[in-house]
Amino acid sequence: MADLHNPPEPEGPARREQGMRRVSTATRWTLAAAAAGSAALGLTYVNLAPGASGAPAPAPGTPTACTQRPAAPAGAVPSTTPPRGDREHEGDGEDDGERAVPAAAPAPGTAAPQTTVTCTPLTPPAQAPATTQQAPQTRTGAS
Amino acid sequence: VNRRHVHGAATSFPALGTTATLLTTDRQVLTEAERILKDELAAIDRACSRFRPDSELSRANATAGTATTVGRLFAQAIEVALRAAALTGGAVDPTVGRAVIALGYDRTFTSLRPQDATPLPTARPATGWQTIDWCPESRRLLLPPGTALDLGATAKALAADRAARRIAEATGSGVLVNLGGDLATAGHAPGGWAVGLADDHAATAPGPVVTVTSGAMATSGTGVRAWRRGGRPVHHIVDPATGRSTETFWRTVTVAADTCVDANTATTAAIVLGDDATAWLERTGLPARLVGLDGTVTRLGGWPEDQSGGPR
Repeated sequence: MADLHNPPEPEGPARREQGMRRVSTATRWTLAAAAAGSAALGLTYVNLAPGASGAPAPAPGTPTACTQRPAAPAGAVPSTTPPRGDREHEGDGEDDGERAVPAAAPAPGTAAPQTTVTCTPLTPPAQAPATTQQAPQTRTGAS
Repeated sequence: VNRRHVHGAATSFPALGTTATLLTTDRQVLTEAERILKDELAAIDRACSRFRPDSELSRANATAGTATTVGRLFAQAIEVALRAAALTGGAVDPTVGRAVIALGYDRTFTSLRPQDATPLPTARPATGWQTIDWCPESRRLLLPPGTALDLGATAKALAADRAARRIAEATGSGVLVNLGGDLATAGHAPGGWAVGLADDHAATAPGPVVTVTSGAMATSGTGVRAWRRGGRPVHHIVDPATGRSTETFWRTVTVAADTCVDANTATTAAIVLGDDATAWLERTGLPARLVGLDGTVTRLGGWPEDQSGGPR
């Protein structure tokens, strides 16, 4: 009785022809996958590389929000003085008497604290200056 | 043309090596406003003065290479300075301290020798603001060894902003705080404040006058805080890229902004950027008035035409 779910394999030249088609298809898929993978890796590298960006770099001073992560200075000597707790600076609402005090040195083997400067753009006034014929109440000038 | 301006109370006194002027719309609050201003000035001096050995700035500079935890006000001053550096592409850099000192500006300007025969040392570029290790959450500061901060470009403006805000909140009055030409306003001032424009904030000669209804204004120039060192003219605005006084391209730059810190950041950057300043300022959208060495005036960002005010 014939097996309806597993038709008999072609034989001879037909079987060889089918094998060649399978190899060709597999080769094309492999090449396509390799090309796509290379492109993805390249884009990832461009975006992760220091100082590089996938987008055009803004001109210096362009007023956009920015986050800077300065590098830790070379040759810095960690302090060995015990830390001063943040609590000492909280709650009084006054800055009087606060002074620079040595901070905790990073523990051996740990990374230095990440430095972050978040900045908002330079902002124009709500209203630009207007001309007036009044006498000045005060003056702006270099000092 | 604005023909109305505020009538209120005013007082002036020496502060931070310059003159502090305080205007309020409400005459009754002047005494309290002056107390707040002096309190703010004293705090900023304790935190940011280069000329006080006990200031936080002096201590941080003296211990460069060692991590320190700083107070809140000094932390805010550092944040402001680093933001200015980031927004100006490093044209306004707080690590110019050594360069400024090398130029001879190592004491208050009034005690500076106007004709210093000592030769200028070899100029070195600023260490660079990116080398500062700063954590805003813990207020932990680590300067590279040999680095000295100078917050002169932003600390005075920060004081003006803080004082104006505090006074308006405490008194409900409209207020203008002017620290040597760096001025900040807060509260409501019907008609605005009439502000004269000059190369030198202490000038008394007639000049253009504008009305400031909100925000702040600052002016930078190379004609003041200038002296001679080794036979060469030098001034206090240092190009971080060279460590020397900036080449003089503009006589005066005045900028209006939402805050005095923003205004002073822009004016200082413009002096450093020289010929490139107009393109940079146009991108910021800030109203600006730049006076060239020949007196030619360039107006940007909606700055109005010059109109001289009446007698003071």
